[in-house]
Amino acid sequence: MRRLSLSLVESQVKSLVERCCVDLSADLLDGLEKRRGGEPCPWAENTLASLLENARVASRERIPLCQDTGMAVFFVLLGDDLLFERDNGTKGLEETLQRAMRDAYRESSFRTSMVMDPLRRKNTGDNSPAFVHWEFLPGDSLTISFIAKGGGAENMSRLKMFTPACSAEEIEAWIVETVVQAGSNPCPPTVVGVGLGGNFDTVSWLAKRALLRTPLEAANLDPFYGGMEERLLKKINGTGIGPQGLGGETTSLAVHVEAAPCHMATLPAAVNINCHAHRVGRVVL
Amino acid sequence: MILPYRLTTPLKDEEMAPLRAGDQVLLTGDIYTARDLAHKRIQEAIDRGLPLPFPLKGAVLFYAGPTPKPPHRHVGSVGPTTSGRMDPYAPLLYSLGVKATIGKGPRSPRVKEAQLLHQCLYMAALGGGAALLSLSILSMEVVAFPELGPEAVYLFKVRDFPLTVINDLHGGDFYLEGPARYREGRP
Ligand code: SF4
Repeated sequence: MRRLSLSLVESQVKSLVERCCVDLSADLLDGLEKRRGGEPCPWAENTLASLLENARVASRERIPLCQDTGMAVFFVLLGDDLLFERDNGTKGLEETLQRAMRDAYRESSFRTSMVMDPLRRKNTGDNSPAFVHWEFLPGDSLTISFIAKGGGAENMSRLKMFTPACSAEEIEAWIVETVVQAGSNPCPPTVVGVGLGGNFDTVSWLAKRALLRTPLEAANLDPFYGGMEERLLKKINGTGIGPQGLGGETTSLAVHVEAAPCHMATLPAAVNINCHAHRVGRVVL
Repeated sequence: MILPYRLTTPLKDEEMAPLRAGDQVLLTGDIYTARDLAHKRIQEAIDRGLPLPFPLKGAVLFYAGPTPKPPHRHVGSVGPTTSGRMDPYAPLLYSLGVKATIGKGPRSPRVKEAQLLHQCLYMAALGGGAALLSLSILSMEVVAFPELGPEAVYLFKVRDFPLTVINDLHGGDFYLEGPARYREGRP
């Protein structure tokens, strides 16, 4: 058993959240910079230059990259051999994550975007609750990934229960169609997360988890899906939607596909789109 | 490089008429934010004949919900939200005098029709460019529905606020024309 202090977890998670919403990661900056030179339309090139400038201003002024600082989503990989020291006055890890998130949003003047109820829509005032997904694994390490997920891009998500008779081409066409339908709404250039397999509930979790993959250009380790990612990115960047949907090549920066076992009668597919304000990060403790 | 147009509020028809989809605009003056819940409240006020939080005549509406003002700065970050969610309200607001709207993402055919009928512009601000856009904002002040937090109506005084014309007064739509021009290889 390894003992881990919850105070330590709390301070690390809090600064992770603060960093993610203000500083665009190096691979995003690289991706935007690389694509900028390849844009044939001057307005597309200018748009990418403005996005890079936005990232510089946010870092310099210590303000959020985007006013939508998102819903807070954590993915936790929890080693079985960990023992938490409750030295921060909370009841445990979940409460620690929630409090670290709330404190980060309040102290950094981030926008609180959560409402208490889907129909009565009163703002909770502190961006709570964060969404926390748990996975358990052997060992004594703790990995906490965070994504600040904006509503505009989230609204462009799609889920479809295909049947086993459907070909990979049909599913790819549906994924591209999802990105085309989203158009300018999710602030392209986007990062496209795709889940395949699992069941109705896990497939959307897979699609969101696919967004966490770093570095951005990393392909799925299974060459079958790695090849699919490459084809999808090429097709998506052939649609002409372009940065901000104003026309151009760079509609997406990356497509990440994650697959999982599924029932022999099913073939679930889900797409979760994220914007260029791809605020993803992790701490390993 | 084509120079941007400069517009100042209140907008005048004769200054808006030369603009074409795809043109760059630097806007100076007063803009009001309103997003989902503020629109709902404004619609209710209109339905019940109650006074409105700000004059709609000649107004420029910005679909946005800013971050709170941080202690070290005069404003937080603010950029556009998806305009399509405000489509159900837009035709009525245009008919009551709103002259331009700012957001991101395409408008419905019904909204585009209303824009042409009432000669209203639709412009996009840089989506996810909230830090950069904040440099063009001189001040922010809540003018209505403070209880809605980020969804309240704010008055922004802006100088040279950068925008792209999406729907001009002549039926142009840059979300259609921009990608088409790229595909046809005429940048
Ligand atoms: S889609 Fe992303 S970049 Fe665009 S407004 Fe929402 S959070 Fe910001």
